[in-house]
Amino acid sequence: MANPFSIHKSTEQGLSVLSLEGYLDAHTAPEFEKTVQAEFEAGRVQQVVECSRLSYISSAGLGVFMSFIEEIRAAGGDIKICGLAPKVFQVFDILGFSALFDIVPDLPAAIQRFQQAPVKET
Amino acid sequence: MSAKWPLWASLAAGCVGLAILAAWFSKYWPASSWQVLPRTELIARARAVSEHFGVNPGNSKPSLVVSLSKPLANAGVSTISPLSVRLSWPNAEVGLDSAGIPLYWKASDEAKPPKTDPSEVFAFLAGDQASSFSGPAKSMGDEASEDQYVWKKTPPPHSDVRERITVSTKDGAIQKAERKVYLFSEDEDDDDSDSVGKQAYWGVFSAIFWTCFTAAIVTIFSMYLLWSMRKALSHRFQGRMAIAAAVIIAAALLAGANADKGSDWAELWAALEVLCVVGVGRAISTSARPKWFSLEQLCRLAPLSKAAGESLAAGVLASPLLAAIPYLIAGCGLFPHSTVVPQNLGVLYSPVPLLDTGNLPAVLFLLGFWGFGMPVLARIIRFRWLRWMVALPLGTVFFAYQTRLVTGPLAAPLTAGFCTLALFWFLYSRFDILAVLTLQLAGGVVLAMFMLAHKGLEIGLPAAALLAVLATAFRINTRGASVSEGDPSATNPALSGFRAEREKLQAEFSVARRAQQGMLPQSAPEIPGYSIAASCTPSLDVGGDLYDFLKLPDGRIGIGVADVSGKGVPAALYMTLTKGLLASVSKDNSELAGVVEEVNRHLHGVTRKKVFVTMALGFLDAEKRVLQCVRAGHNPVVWRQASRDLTTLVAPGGLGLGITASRVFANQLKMVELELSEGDSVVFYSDGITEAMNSSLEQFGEQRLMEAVEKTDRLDAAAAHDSILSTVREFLSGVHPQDDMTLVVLRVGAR
Repeated sequence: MANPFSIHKSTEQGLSVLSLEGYLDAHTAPEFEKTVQAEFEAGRVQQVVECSRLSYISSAGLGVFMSFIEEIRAAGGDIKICGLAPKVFQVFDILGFSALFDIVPDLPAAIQRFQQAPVKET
Repeated sequence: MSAKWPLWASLAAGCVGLAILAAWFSKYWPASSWQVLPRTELIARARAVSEHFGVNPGNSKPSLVVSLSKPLANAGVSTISPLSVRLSWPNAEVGLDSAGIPLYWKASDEAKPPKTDPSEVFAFLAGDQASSFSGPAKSMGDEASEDQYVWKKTPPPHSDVRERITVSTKDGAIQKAERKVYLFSEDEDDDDSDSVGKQAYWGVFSAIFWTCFTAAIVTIFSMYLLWSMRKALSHRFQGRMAIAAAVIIAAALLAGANADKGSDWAELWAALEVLCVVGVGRAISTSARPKWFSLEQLCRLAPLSKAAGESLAAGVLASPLLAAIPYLIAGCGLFPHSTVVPQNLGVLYSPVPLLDTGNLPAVLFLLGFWGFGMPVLARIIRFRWLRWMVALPLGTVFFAYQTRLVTGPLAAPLTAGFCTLALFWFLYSRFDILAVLTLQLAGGVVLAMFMLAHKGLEIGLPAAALLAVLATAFRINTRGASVSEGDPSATNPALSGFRAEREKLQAEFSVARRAQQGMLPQSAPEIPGYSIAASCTPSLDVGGDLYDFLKLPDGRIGIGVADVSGKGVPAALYMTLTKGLLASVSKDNSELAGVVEEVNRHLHGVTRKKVFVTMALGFLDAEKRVLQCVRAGHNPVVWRQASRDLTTLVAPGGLGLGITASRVFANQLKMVELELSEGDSVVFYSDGITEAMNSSLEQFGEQRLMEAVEKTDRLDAAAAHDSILSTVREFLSGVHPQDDMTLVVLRVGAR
């Protein structure tokens, strides 16, 4: 009620695309978590999180990315993040996420990145 | 105590109100042209009337009821005043208009009035108007011994006003005599059709209004409950809710049904139902508590807090403006067709004018609107601008309908409603509900004073009452208790049920809060040539922010700020864990990167997968004036070099703690060395500072923080720290911080 947040699911060339919109904070993170979990359990481990309409992310939101990444990578998949607005990118960047995740400008770049490197090399 | 301006603003509003009333009251007061006799004179006349009819009411004091015919007032009848007074003795009842013209007389059965000729009674009641009446028409009463004589006045052309005199006799003795002035409508035989029709219309309107109002309140209330509890409600609780809803809806329907009787029942019922909702809402609403606190103390006869004195004073000081709003609307020239609705005229004859100014339904409405409606709105809608956009039109309509201060085209009552809302809003937001209620009651008293003074009647009592409240207010403000919402001493231990459970939990939280605050360093280390100041303000009771100072084996001093992801209890638990890890790891390790890597390894082992900790850590070599810094996913440190007038963000690479234990962490972690010189400052902080958001949804941001740091060049650490925090608070201008705020300032002094 307080902060609008929504997730739009789609499929693009076999990749699962989750488009986030609004505020991803402690109240809305569980919804995002459930969605990623459901995708993972359905065997869709190649996920693109598209954030061009995401206006805010809190530490609880960032926590969702962390909680699945190891399992997903162990299953041969990955989470690529794209479309971050500069302010949101700054939050990812301060935490050092650019070293842990592939963060690319847009959806085509994310698809391309999956072709080049299905799992990010660290 | 620094924020006294709202009190001055209230005083200014009051002065404006007085000026408006002084200029326009006598011109627009609907009753200004009516003659009004003082109470004692009126009683003497009524006694004389009864004696004229042969019944001596004795010397006992009569009971006195004042009523006002609004249709007659609006029609501008000039023969008698629309304000009438009915005086009752045990053996007789006399009605007079406010100028003392006799309108009504009735004897009790025991009074045994003497036999009188009805024509003489008619001549007495009609006075010099007798020639314009025709009649009488005689008819039989219910019993054979009862007769009724009716005279009717020939109406002037194009006038809706009719007048009639009725005399009822029993065995020739006068039982009842009445002179009645009324408005003519379609059917002359049905005298009251006009007013009855109007009342029925109001009854339907009231029923619809109150049902909608109640439904809306119940819906909002249930949504609020479901949302705030976030779990299935017990069957018993659901049952109680259903009963409460049924009672409320029944009350609303009764209110509508009763409205056509023209009584105050409708408002009383509505007020009761609002009270029910307020009571339940009050019991569970937490955000409203501070606004209720003074009133609660007052009801409990507990010592009032100093703030309550300000609320009382503000309510009294601003009250003339509330009283003046209808006169402002009528006099400002924007609404030429609007007139002031006459209100509270009973005050003119009341032995205690003060009591006649109290308006119970209005008080309960205010409680409902400000005590329940606004807090619920605040919980549902987080954005202040959106809240305003919802509350403004709703409140305007609500106050326009509820107060009904002026008549005229829709814009006039709406403007009056808006002005009323604005004034109450000011007092509610700057003070509390006590101020709101004081404003309403004092507003009535001010209006009463103007009415009494205008008619040349005594105003000593209401004036003295207002002054007494003001004096009490200032006394409370200077001598009152220093208690506030949340103090254990201010709450009653003998509470039961839901509320007691919650308060127990709150008490435990305040213990937890104190314990957690106790874990933070009680004082900053004293380092020759440096000053340090630090604070951590949790947004909730407990928080996930942390700062600490370390004594390293090699003699250096560690300064750290950390922030656990998430909020509340889970974050607080990890915060204590991080604090312990940092202390134990740094006990035998002076190597900055090594300390941070080890803390990361431990945290990764124990934290749940989605929890992480960010940290900025600096090791200060006080002698060499070198500060080694790392940033584990934390906000960059602000380095102010005063001598070079340079402010930079120190942002070496680094991942948050607890995310990964792999070599990626060590690879990413970079260290920088700051060579400090005199006048420099280094500011560590948490994102609660930079992401602090004001009501226009702007973040404080790094740029404002850097500017705030630049302004503190000549201050020591403590003063600089306070200055930066007050800049943030100014930016927030009253918005409660959404996140914990931690700030550590290191100032380099002379060697």
